[in-house]
Amino acid sequence: MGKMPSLNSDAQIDQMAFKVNTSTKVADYTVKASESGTFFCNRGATAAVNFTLPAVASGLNYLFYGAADLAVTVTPAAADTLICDDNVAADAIALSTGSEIMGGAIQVVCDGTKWFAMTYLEESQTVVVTSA
Amino acid sequence: MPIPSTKQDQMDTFMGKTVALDSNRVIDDIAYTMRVENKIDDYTVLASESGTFFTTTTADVDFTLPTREAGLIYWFLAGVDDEIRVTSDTTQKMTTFNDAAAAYVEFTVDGEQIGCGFMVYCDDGLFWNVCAIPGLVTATMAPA
Repeated sequence: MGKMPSLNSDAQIDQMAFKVNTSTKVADYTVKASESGTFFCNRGATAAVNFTLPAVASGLNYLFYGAADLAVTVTPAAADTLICDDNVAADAIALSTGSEIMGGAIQVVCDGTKWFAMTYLEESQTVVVTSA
Repeated sequence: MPIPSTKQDQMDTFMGKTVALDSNRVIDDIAYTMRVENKIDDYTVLASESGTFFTTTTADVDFTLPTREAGLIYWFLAGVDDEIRVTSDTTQKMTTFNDAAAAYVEFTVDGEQIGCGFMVYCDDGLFWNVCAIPGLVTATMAPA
């Protein structure tokens, strides 16, 4: 309907109302830069799903949600480019402990060099970090 | 003067700037402020409030989600040591800790509730996916 959001005096979209792009994957998937901002989940998966991130670029961000009790792994395209869990050169992060996957989420934001991982976890959920 | 999201159809610019898409057809380097709403009573959330950060500051509050629609997203944070609950629009369509068919999630343990909350979004399979935000590392969340 030709609608556009407004900008405030700081050139920001003010009090933004929005919906996120969502995508369900049941097999390994290489994420695209054009999908930045997307919330992925593994609902319906019958096997573990590995999400491979695109090449680093500042501002790219994604969220990966465990909606089935099968492992969700997030792997940067290049080794040693993931920051998480007291590790500045991790290779992957995963929700992979059975009965602790559903409800967990991993969000990553790229600064142009590294991926910063954040986790949404209930107290008894475990994330597994891989580092060579 | 802030422009509420209900007025997002207005085409205001700032120094000639407006929102543009990059070569990937995404909004590049988005800068925005969140819509923040405080609630002191039970509240049924609206689809048009997607993106809103709801807070509580005085009492128990039960938020009921709207009819599921892919992409809807909300944050709910307790600013007081009272219970905060988020209830699905229908049963068995909410995913949370080790439970793919929850009806609601809540923080109810006194002394743990301040700063607790949830980010909730609806996926393309039309399930509410709950991300818990424990105010304390040891906070106890209760799905049901």
